[in-house]
Amino acid sequence: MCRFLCYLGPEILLSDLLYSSQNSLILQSYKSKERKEPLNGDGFGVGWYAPQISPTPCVFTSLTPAWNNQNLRRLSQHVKSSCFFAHVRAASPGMMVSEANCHPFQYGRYLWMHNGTIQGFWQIRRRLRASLPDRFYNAIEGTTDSEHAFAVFLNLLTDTESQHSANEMGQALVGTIVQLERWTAETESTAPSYYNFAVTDGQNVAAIRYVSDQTVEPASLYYATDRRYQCADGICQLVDCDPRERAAVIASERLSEDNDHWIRVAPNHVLTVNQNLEARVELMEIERHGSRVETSSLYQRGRQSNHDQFYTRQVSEDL
Amino acid sequence: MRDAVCKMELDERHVKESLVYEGRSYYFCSVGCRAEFERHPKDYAQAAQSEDGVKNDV
Repeated sequence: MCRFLCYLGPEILLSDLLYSSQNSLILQSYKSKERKEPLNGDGFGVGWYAPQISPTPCVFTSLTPAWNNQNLRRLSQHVKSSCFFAHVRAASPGMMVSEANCHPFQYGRYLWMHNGTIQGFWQIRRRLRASLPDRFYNAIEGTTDSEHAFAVFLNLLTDTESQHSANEMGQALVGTIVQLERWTAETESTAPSYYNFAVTDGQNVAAIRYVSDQTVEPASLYYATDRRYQCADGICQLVDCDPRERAAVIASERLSEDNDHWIRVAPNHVLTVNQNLEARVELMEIERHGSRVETSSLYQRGRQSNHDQFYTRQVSEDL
Repeated sequence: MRDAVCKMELDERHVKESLVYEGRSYYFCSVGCRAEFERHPKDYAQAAQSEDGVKNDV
């Protein structure tokens, strides 16, 4: 289990995002509030976009804890971007602590982070890898369930070279979990899997808060989309603003104590934020009926969205 | 009616779960939303009441 943070909006300084809020990601790296074990010191990573240079992001990872990495502190004071992904890691038992296992993972224009565990991963790993074409199989550098899930996601996108909408990314995210659940259903594992994923192409973000047993509390995840992330005198917080200045922040924990500004992502719902910073939340349910897996999706009107409410239901093929 | 957790607009076809908390009925789109409400009932009940307050002021 880990903690992560996504930012999409007007350009900001990385140090403001990482260090300067009341419950910053750096604070969460040694004193997270919503995990039983507060330490997230098994390395960290940040990814950001500089579209004037390249459509692909830059990624900086390190094995040191985020709280005492001087290079991160120095670098973050000179990096500005309109899209950041940041992650502090608490390695799951059995997962190696190595730089190749630090999130965010990158492929082409995409960044991917995970907070959670895929139960039965070691039983499905061979099958998962065998399902991948060479380009995604060979892109896996580490050993984590998280990076393997990313490869499944990439394989579900129709074309990783093309631009995809936030909705298409959200659908691929849902498809990833459906596929993982199909495989894990055939293992002997009975413990729940935790799938809090986030993915971006630098312009759109899709994130999900999901646990395979709906009676169990999923890992925490919050978002704020209708305010500006403003920093003054070394303190950053969400403030009311002109709609053109607003940002989307998605985080494992609220960065500030202004609770009214943060919305808890409902369990087993997908959150998408498009390049106009319009947010939409969609229910995702997986139901098993014998050898069949059904997925249900019920879209709702987002807080800033003009999308009409609609209902879709899909039945997957036999296992 | 609205799901008290995910705020989804629900018609009767989409209500999967419901419960009564402090004399008031709450409706949910899924088992997960109901379970989430049960973990943090005060938070969600307060939010629902303040939303009603906003509606009544308009």
